[in-house]
Order: sequence, then C-alpha cells, then structure tokens
Amino acid sequence: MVRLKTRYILFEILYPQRNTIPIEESYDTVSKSIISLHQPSSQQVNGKQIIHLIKASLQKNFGDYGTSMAVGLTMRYFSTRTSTGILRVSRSNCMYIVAAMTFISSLEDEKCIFNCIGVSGSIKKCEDRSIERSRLMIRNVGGTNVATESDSLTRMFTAGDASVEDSSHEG
Amino acid sequence: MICDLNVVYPQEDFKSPPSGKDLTKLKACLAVLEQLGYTHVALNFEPQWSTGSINKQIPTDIRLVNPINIERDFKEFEGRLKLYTRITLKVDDPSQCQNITRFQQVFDIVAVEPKTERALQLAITNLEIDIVTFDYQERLPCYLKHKTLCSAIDKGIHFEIKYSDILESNSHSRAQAISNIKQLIRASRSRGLVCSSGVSIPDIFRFRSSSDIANLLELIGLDHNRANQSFKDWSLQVLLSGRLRIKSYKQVVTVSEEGGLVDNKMENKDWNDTKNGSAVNIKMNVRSYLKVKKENAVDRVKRRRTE
Repeated sequence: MVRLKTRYILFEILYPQRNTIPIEESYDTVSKSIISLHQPSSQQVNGKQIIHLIKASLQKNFGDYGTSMAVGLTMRYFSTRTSTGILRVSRSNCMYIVAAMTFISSLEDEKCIFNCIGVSGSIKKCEDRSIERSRLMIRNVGGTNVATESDSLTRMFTAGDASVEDSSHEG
Repeated sequence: MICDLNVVYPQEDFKSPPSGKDLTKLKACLAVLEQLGYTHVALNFEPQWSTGSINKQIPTDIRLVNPINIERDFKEFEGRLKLYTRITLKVDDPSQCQNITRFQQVFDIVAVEPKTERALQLAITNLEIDIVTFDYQERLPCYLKHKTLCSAIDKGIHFEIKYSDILESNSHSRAQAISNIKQLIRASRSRGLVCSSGVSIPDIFRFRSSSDIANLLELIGLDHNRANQSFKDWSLQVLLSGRLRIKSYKQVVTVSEEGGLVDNKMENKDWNDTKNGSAVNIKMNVRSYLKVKKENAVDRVKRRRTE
C-alpha cells in the first residue's frame, strides 16, 4: 500500500489598506503595525471562497495544467478572526499552490497580502507554529504600554462581528 | 537577516521633497516589510533624468545630493529596521558618467540602470557600482552575454531582480518580465543575483515575504538555495561592498557593536548635517560617528530611579 504524501500550508492574510485604522497610526510602534496589519477578515469569507480564489489564480497563471494541481486541495482550518488558515495539498503540487497564493492580491474587492508562513508534513506542526506565532505577536503587542493600545484593540474587535465560526478539525 | 534593497522613495528630482502624506504612506510600507520579516531595507532614490541631462541638475552643495534623511524622517523605525539609502541612475550616454563619484560619497548603495549595450559594457568595466538593474517590463537593452555578466560578478557587481514586475497585473509586461529574468538567470549562471521588491508606495499590497518569492523564483528556474541566497547572503554582500566604499580608509574599516560591518546603528545618518557651514557627514569622516558615553555609577543610579 502506497501512502498518500501530503503537505500542510500554514498561511495568513494581511490587510495593508484597511480604512478602519488611519494610516498615520499604523506604523509608530511595533504593536501598532502588528494591529493595523493583522486584521480580521470579513465574516463572508470562508474556506471555500479562498480555495476558489486559489483555483482561479492557478487557472490565470498556469493554465489548465496548473488547475490540475488543485485536485485534493482542501482547507483544513480557517478563522476569519485571525485571518489564519491551514491548507492541505498533495506533496508534488505544493510549490504551485504557494506560487498561486503569492499571485493573489485581492480578496472580496479588498487588497490583501497572502503570506505563507510555513509548509509542513503534519498538521500538528502547523498548529504548533501558528500558536507560537500568535503568542509572540501578543507578547509584542501587550509588552509596551497596553493602555494606549487598548482603544485600537477595542476598535478592532467592535469592527468584526462577535460570532466566531471556525471550521477546525484534526487531520 | 533578510534584505529588501529597493523600496522606491517618492521623489524624482533633487529639489522637491516628498509631501508629508507620501512619507506616511512610505512608513506604512516599511511597517508591512517589518511584519513580513525583513530586517534591512534600502530606500531607493531614482532621479528621472538619464545621465545625459542629469549633470545640470545635480546640486553643487554635496549636502543636497542625498534627499533621503533617515535620521530626521524615519525616527520610528530605529531599532526595528536598518535603513539604508540607494540611488539608481539611468545611463544612456556612457561618456557622461564622471559625476558618479559624487553619489558614492553620500549614498550607501549606487545602482545603475543601463539603457544601451555600450552603457552596460561601461557600467561593468569602468564604473564603481554595486548593482546593475534593468527595466524588466521593457525589452532588455541587448542580449545578455555570459562573458560580460560573469566578469561583472567576479568584480563584485550584483544583478537585481525586481519581484514587483512578476506580480504585475498587465499580463503582457509580466510575460516580458519573466522572460527577461530567465535570460538574466541563464547569463549569470545563477550567481550574483539580488532579489528586491521595487514596489512604489501606491502598490503597498505587492509586498510579499521572502520565502514566497523564493518559491516563485524556484519555479522560474533558480535553485532553492540560490533563490534564498538572493535575499540573504548576496544582498548583504551588496550592502557590505557599498558601505565599505564609504566607511573604510586604506586598510581600516569601521565596525559597530552588534551587526559587524553592515550595521549602521552608531552612524550619523543625517547626510545634510553641518558644522560651521561645511558638510561634516561625507566620505570617511570620523566625526560622523555618534559618541557613546559609558555608563558610570551615577548614571546607573539615575537609570534605576527612573525605572
């Protein structure tokens, strides 16, 4: 029996041109730039839509040959709150999928940056990495003068809807 | 240490400084780069003239030659990003290049964009530069020969790939860019390549992390290790060679505390700083270094009290 070899891609979506935060406040300190870039995605965005976007990008950049790479492409986890997700692809097609994601520049008519944080053979490692990353980010945000940052944090949380809908399940 | 040696500075001539709005946008760009993991960033000043007509435009006062004032305008990024300045000259008439020494005194990196085959030849053989770059969305000025490029790489000149041209939305110019980059990789035998963004401020969403672009370059035909090196080792080599031109004298070099030769933490980055009416911060000036006072017992007590 031959094993199916897979790769898990951990990615995040950055929003450099959100208008909820004025541009003058987006770079002063490390914590401000983290908050202004790592924004929640809109509630309408779901895993299927991103898969569709990647397929469209594959079609545009690599043609029908590229679209064949999307066979077996599934979203294992996506959270609109943190704009982070984990994709499952077969090992041989991994490079093309990452390339297709680099070519994407807008999501739901909003400019965005797809950033692939890591590629791993097991979903566990991707999750670990994601947790470690968010922990580091929170330390950077909260480390210096929490009081001044709190208003931009509340703005961030009131901007999105309160209900969180994660489609997470173990692989 | 991941470098991006080309973030376009929003200014096209020596006289008109960028508006405050442009500067804030540029800072937002730098914040994006920081979040994507870059540590060394060079701001690129591109005068609009090519060498034939630039001679009349260069200010005679050396302090006005470099319009980018990192010390004054980019205070927020101290300790977060290491910022450098770079100039890119468009060369069409090779006989008009004597003024290049003036730029070497005040810019960390000097790059050349040859427009003709003769200009490319001259840039490689005669000029003291760090980077050769091309406009990838147009046709290259000539067929790139392996011999010419490799002699340049042996001399220590690097060739630049701008990834914003690959991410361009216009598919014709993108195809041209990819074919040009393939030519460059072939002619240079995948050595001495530097990959940088080349993004100007309206295209802030074009920034990508270095690993994504390395993956893209791998698909274009560069091998994995070299694609990564173009962001790390080779870019650092460019910075090093460019800065040694300013920061060395005979066989003496200046070294800062942590980052070795590339670090510019202790330097006076204000190029138009003056003392008694004359420019102090030009090539090889010892006084352009900031003095660090050693902490004594009184200071220690004061520091503890404030903490």
